[in-house]
Amino acid sequence: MPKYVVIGDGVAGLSALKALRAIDSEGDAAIVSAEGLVPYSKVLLIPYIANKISEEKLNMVARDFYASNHVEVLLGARAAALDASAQRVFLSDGGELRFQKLLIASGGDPTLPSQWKEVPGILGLRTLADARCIRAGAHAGKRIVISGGGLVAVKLAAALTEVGIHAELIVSSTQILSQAADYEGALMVQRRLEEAGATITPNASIAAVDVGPAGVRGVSLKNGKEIPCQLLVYCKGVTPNTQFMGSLVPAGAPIAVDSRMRSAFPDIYAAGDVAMASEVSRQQMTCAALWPHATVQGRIAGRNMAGQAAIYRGSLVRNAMEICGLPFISMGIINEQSGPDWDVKITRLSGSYCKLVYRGEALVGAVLIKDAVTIAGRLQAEIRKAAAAHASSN
Amino acid sequence: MGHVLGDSSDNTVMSLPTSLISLTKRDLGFDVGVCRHCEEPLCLDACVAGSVTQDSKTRWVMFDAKRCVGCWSCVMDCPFGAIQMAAAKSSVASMPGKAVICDGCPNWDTPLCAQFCPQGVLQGSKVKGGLVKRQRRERAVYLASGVRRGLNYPPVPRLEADRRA
Repeated sequence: MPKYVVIGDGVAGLSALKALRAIDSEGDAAIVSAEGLVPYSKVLLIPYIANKISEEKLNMVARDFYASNHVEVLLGARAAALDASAQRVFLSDGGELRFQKLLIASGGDPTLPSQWKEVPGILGLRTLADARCIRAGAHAGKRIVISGGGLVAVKLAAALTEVGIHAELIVSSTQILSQAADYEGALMVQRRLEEAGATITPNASIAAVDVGPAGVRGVSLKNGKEIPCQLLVYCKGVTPNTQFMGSLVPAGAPIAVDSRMRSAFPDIYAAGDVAMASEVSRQQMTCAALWPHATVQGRIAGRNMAGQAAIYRGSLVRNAMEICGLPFISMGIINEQSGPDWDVKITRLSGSYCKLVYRGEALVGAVLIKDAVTIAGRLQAEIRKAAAAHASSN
Repeated sequence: MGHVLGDSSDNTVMSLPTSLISLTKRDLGFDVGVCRHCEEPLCLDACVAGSVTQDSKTRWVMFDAKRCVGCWSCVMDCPFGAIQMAAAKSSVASMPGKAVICDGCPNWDTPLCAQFCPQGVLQGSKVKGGLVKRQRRERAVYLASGVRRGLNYPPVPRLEADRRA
């Protein structure tokens, strides 16, 4: 019986393995890898699609990582069911794993309408297989429509535009980046994208998809407009992979964890995109799916699984990207709410934009564009400091 | 230090290294944005491309421009403002779009900033990295944070303050 079982070979799972191996070099460990590939960085898929990096640069660890760390790998298997009280995981290939400590780091899958799941040319962007398909299609001159205006959609559109491939964004809200930027900031990003050649249609949604024998041929919008395309990339968020937990968590919901990454079930931990931890700016449980959170959460989980008492200091929702030469960073709460408590300070200086959001005296969020991005790290420290002060005064 | 990060590798007399230190003006004096080589570096956790590493012996933080994809995550997370993104037209033009930090002038006996700093704020010392312990990093940033309603960009602590902390 392996002492440690990790479900998922993304950054959270690997980070946990590294952390627990630094403490316990002996205990048997096993990892369940759904894709059965050398672990790769999902964040690098977009530069890979734009041909900025080669496929082997995607790998996060050396090929012999598992062997040199004495980790058993179950390739091509997914977790199919979990018996928390008997401490067993059942796998999609019929196998079964007993564990003493379990880490669920199974990430998420793109939210794709079920009627589109099998249509060639309609896909999300989450796996290497998705990225290979988009990359091949994009460079073969296929027309690409991206449904969604979030971070993945905007980053993909920017990366394609930078290498001269036309991207068309269909955004259902009034602005792009509705979760990550205020209206003015989002408009700056949108203008930059449009200047570089991308097409962005806000307030629009896809009414129907035209599917031919070879796959998708085009989409028609609710306003009647028809757009031909051979690739439809659906970027409308991610659903946590918790289906195998059955009734232990509500369908499609993430797993709530405490400050030591423990779930509500004994000896079961969660980290990364599948976990919901406390967030400092909102002061509530949030699924802050972001690379640095996954790294740190995985490490904290690994240490606790190996018997150390490591404490997670809380997530802080944030994002960084460069859109066709325009740096953009946002963090925390980006739109002030109504009420006397809320205040904003906006500075515009030679094309750069700095918006600071305050609740009372406390800084709770920021949107930074162009030169202003250099202060991001210091603002983060300020937000965390204000949140700590708030927590200790309560 | 096998990794050459800034132009400081070019130590011919005619060509001085390019500065990888940033200065932020405060009410009294300046803050020096220079890498503190944290014990558990936030930039290392943030890096999506495996470009940031920490030397297992010296604990120095190193940036490998060959792997960097210019995603800004490290710039976003460094509480000292010590990481810069080299612009195409900047003096660090050899690696446009890549994140760079002070590399400690590996080919010089004393870092050039230390040689020329008249106040002794910047000093070269051949100590191990991990200079800023986790708790101290948080506290130093807390003490120094000075965002007010004015337009001040928040300052970072000075190096002397670091030593006292």
